[in-house]
Amino acid sequence: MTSLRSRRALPGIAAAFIMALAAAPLAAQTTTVTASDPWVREVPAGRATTGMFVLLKNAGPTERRVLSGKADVGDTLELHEMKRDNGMMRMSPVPAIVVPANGEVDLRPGGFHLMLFGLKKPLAVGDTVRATLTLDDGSEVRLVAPVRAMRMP
Amino acid sequence: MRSRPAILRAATLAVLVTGAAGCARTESPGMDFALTDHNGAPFTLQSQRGKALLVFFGYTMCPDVCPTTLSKLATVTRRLGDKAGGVRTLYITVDPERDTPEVLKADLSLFTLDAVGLTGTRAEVDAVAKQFGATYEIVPTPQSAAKYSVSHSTTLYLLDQEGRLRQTFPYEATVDEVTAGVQAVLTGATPNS
Repeated sequence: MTSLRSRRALPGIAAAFIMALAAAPLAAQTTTVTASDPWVREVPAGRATTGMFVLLKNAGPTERRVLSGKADVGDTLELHEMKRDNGMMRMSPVPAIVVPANGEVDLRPGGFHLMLFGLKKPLAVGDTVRATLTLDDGSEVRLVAPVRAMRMP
Repeated sequence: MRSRPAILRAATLAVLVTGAAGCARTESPGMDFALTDHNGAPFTLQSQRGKALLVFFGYTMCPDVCPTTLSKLATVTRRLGDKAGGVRTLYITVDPERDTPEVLKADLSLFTLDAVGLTGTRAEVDAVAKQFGATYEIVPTPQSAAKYSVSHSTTLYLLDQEGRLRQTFPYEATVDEVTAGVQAVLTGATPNS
């Protein structure tokens, strides 16, 4: 009886252990990274590319890295950087964007930003884009970004 | 060691001489070039005589530098008020394979700006960039959906009503700075020096 019970219990314990492991990334979703003021630049008919911008803040003591993302409006979301280099403006995809511990990174025109490719339709002011960024700890940051016109003060 | 400052002095002198020649309004000829506008029609710079021109090079695939510049120039236009009719923007692509007239036209439709989008063959665009001293570089990005990006210089050029280069602005130039430069050209003031 006893031996039978323990033999039966073993798979159960193993399953619970595996479930706990599987749940670990979920638990990490109480991420310390939050998004504020997300927006997407409007896109005219005939264009399939735009930029997405957001301020990411990290309230935790550990640096986090944005590794990838996806958006509901396009095929591809990529992490890009624009920088001045010897009088040239260089745009390039980057493998990750760091959100410093107890700090923030401002994804905005002129620096790090998110690029959306393969847009299926124009985006006008008033539209909303939903996107998800995936961090290096497996957690996700969700964005609900209004479409804006680019305006200078 | 001694020769180096001498070379620097010579270079400085050459720049000053060139600059002085550029300021002599009666002697310096205006620029000219031929490209295709955003409606697919032939375009020559000569056809713009009488307007002050703001000229910059870019490409539409990366919606950052170019929309920012177009947006800045739209604001400059608003600042100019009823003088705005005297100035036109020329937006010259350095990515003519992707930036067809249709693509340029779509981009410009987002801005309240008297702008002409210009494209052409690679050779035509190269010749115009060379006239201005603008540079660009195609950078393959196989890991990106864009396949390649185009690094480019971001100088904004201000030409007067006769097609002569009067002033350049870095990308970081403010609306106030660009507006002041355009106003100087519109009122026939001497160029900044």
